[in-house]
Amino acid sequence: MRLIISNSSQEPIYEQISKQIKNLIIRGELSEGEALPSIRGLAQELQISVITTKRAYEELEREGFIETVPGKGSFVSSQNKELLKEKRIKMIEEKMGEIVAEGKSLGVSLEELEEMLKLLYEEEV
Amino acid sequence: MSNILEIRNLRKQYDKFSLKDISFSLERGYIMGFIGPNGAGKSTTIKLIMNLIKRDSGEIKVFGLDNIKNEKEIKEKIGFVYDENYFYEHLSILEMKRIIAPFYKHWDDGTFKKYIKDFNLPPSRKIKDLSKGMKMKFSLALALSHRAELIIMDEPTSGLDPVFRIEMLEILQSLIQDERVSVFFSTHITTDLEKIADYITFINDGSIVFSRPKDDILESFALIKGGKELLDKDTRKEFLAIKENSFGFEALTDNTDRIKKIFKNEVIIERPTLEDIMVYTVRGEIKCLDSY
Amino acid sequence: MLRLILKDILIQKKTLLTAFIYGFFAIYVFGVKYYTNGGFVAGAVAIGYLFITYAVSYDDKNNCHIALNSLPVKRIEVVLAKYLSVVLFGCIGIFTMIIDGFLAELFGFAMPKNYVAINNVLMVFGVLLVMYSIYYPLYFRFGAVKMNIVNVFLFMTIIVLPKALGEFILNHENNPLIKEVLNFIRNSPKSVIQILSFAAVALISLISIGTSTRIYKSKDF
Repeated sequence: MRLIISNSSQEPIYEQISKQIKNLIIRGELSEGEALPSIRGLAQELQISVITTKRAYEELEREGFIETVPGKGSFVSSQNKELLKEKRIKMIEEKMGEIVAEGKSLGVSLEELEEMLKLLYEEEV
Repeated sequence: MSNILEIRNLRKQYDKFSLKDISFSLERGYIMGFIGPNGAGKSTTIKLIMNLIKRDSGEIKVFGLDNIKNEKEIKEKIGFVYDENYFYEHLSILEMKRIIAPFYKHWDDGTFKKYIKDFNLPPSRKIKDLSKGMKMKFSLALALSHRAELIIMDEPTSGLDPVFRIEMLEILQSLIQDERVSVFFSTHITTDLEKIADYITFINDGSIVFSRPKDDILESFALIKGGKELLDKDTRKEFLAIKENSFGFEALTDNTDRIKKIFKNEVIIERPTLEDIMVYTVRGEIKCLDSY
Repeated sequence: MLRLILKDILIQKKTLLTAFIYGFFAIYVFGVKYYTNGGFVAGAVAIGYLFITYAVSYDDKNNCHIALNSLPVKRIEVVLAKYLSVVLFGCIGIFTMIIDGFLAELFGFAMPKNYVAINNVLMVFGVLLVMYSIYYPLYFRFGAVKMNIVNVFLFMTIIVLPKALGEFILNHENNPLIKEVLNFIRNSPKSVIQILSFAAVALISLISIGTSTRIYKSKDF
């Protein structure tokens, strides 16, 4: 399991953690039923506050990615692959929504946005 | 969840300084940093918790018990580390340990020996011949060797080199792996807390400015940077404190959304450090009082 | 509390050697020269004084009260321990003088009869308790450093007082009050005088303990 925390990022640390774990689950690197490090253990390893890791886990739990069994720890919950994909697509949709809003506020046309997207899509392999 | 430390409406009046009605609490299993400038009341608060000075009014509960009525019981489970050496200087580390150990029912000599070894402390050296860092390590070893559940420290990291400061933070974090243990420590070196503290209590001029989870604090405040032309009588009011130089301004806010609405893209919004928040708040208040 | 008393010894193991040597000095000055058993009392009291003075000055030197009162102890225990260690240091003084006296005899010095009499032993405790009943409340209020001069003065007074008092009484034997007191002492059985002295010392000690406790309890460190 790989987790990299950036202290200089604008993104709050709990979000960095939950996002990275989410991606690990979606990509199948963390499989169903697998145990996650304990909240306190993870905080110690990453040298961050217990509250931060707790919040990350709570978020993952709320979104149904993990389950916490009191006294035993947290585990990757059984995932519906289709549902997972849907979730990811929804995330993309949300981000696109932001792009559209930003584009509109700057007066960028749909064609221009499409062009930009096309360029980026082809660029990134 | 149970509070390991609870302070309510605590007051202490001195001639030139007073602790004004302070309240905050700390949950079991967490680390709380107690920050504030020198003379803000950090040591006074800690001394009141330890019943080294008498409170004028208010309530202090440790492990749910009154800190004066149940003084002995409570201190059995408190590990203390102070900013200065209050042990017998002419004694060696071992001699001092032999005096302290019998006071605690749950003294664990194995743990003490382990820390002495880990910290590279020479057991037969006299306390007066130890460096400041070594004295601190010795204090810490004593504080951690009787199965204390609340570790109270007054400026433990001041005067320590960064390497040991990090080592100490690691020790504190390993302590709270046991969910029964909490750590309460005062410091003016906020970078130590930026990493591991779960809660931050900020005291200034004898009053608590805030006592909240560190993440909340760092998220709710923002550092705003922009050109001076943006500042006028009205916009100035939007900030908690402003620092100006000849090229622009930097200011602290706790309402980022509102600032975004007013200044749109004309300002840079950054995440502040605890030090930023502390410095701006202290200066801001002083400015209001017109005494600086 | 026993730990607090033990602490008072552990912080000054070296004083034991000083006491041992001082004992001979006391025997020589008070005992051999004047051939009285005052050497025993004076020596034991002085040794007690030595230990107590060191104990309080070490306590105050690094403000060890802060460390002590952060341990699981109550302030009243700190105070009581100080009074009990007076008794303990009195014992150490007495034992040192007994050993030193024994050794002095072994080396051929003529020791006074009744060198170690029960009266002398009681006298040591009585003198130390009265002395420190005066000293401790002031010490707990003002600290060891400010009390240094008072301490020396007190010690000298205790040493000089009996002789001065004796002379004073001899010179004023006709004073009606003194006459009355002397008559009472002469006519009462020894046991009554002993009980009365004992009660007086106990009363003084108790009042002093009460005062010290009140002062120390309200102290801010």
